[in-house]
Amino acid sequence: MIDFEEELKKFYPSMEIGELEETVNGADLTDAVDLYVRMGKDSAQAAAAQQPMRDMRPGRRPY
Amino acid sequence: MKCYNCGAQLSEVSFCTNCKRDVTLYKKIIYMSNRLYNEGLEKAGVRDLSGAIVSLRQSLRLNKENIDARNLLGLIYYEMGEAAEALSEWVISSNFRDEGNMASEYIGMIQNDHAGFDVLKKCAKDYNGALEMCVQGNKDLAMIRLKKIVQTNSRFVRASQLLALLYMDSSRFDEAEKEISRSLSIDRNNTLSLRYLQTIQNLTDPADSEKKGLFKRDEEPTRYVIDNELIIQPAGVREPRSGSMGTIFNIFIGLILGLAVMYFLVLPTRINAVRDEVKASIEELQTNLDRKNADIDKLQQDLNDVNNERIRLEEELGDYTGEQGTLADIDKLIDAANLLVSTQDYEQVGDMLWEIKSSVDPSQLSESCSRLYDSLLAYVSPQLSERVSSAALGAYYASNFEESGPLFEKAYFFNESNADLIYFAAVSYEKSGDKEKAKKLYRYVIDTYPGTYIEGQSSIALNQLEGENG
Repeated sequence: MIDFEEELKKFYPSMEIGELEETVNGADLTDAVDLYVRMGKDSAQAAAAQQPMRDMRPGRRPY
Repeated sequence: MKCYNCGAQLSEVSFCTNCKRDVTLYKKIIYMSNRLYNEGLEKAGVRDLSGAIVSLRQSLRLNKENIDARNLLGLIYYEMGEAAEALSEWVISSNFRDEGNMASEYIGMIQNDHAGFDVLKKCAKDYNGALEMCVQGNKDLAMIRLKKIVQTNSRFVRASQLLALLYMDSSRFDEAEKEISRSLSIDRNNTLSLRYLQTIQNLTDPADSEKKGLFKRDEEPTRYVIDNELIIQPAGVREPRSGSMGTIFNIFIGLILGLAVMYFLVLPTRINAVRDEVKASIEELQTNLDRKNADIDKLQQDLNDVNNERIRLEEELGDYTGEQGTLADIDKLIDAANLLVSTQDYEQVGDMLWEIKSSVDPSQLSESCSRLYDSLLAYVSPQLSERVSSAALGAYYASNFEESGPLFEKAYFFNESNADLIYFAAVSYEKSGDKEKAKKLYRYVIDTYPGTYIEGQSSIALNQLEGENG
């Protein structure tokens, strides 16, 4: 048996043409590629962070 | 496929030959996105538009720059009547790549068709209004508006589904099924449409009448629109059945209802009207009867007056015509005149005049009769006065008072200048024992001859008689 009120909740307002610009500008377009790229950059930065700092000072060469 | 880092064309190897980046996972993401696009394309090919939307959405989640997927998604939205959704996808798509992108073509086509563009805008607006009406409980108005939308834009799947839901809510399953079929012809695998269709089929299955009864609401009027007019058919009204038996049955029912209406509504009214008319007639008759009775009473009164008048006139006539009547006196007067002329018998004429005087007041006679009477009396009086006076004195001195009384009275009749005659008439009556007559004559003397001797004598005699009666 169908409950009208419950079924009605499944219907949502249709996007109107006037809302188009706002919708496009506000759309969250983040995709898996973005996440991957971000993850790759973060990894590179982390790897760079783990490298030992070189002693660039003169006269302080290890023996 | 280009490297996401440096933009160089990638080869089959798992790293970028230019920047040496590992692109294994990146390639997998792109491949998965393309596979989902292919899946969406296949689904769209068999008009599983909702399934295609799911696949294409997933594809774009993986790679937002999958232009073909985004363009197809816009196309599917457009096919389902969602013009704004379609435009938004195409706008985003054209932003990613402007040249060689079909999205720009689609946008241009829609914008150039001004009339169609306005219709699409209005449909979306009306749909939102209808949905708001449903939420507020104005289902009838929402139904009217949705019907207009699906007539204008028959591909608007969500509008058809909402209209079908409203039909189902008002137990109009045939129309609901029609709308669902329309939506399924556009989107064949829409889960919501399929579920509604299944529900309708279950409820409209004749073998499953119990379910149908469960879903049916209380009797509500049926509403439909013809030529922009809302027709509201009252609950319980059914179209007439075809067939002669049904027609005869309906005629029979109509006759019974007509008779019932006549019996319960028309007849009482008519009876009351007739009753009022009869009552008014009775009141009018009663009024006429009262008037007639009043006339009869008046006539009866008049008749009584006439009878009384008649009796009075008869009596008056009797006074004139009887033996003692005036006419008799007149006859007697005429006879006396004749007798006097013919025989010169003074005594008889005098007796006749005396009789007339005794029966009637001479002053009440007509003028001519009165003159005749006076003439006769004046003529015979000198002849009879002495004669009657002598006879009266003779009887008086002979102590024959019963005779002397009337004689003195008669003598006085012929000679009223002699007051002694009437006085002795009174004395004679007194002595004969007729006291009342004596009193009457004494009073006459007292009244007629005041200050005379005999008036004094009469007063003494009257006092004595009244003292005796005392």
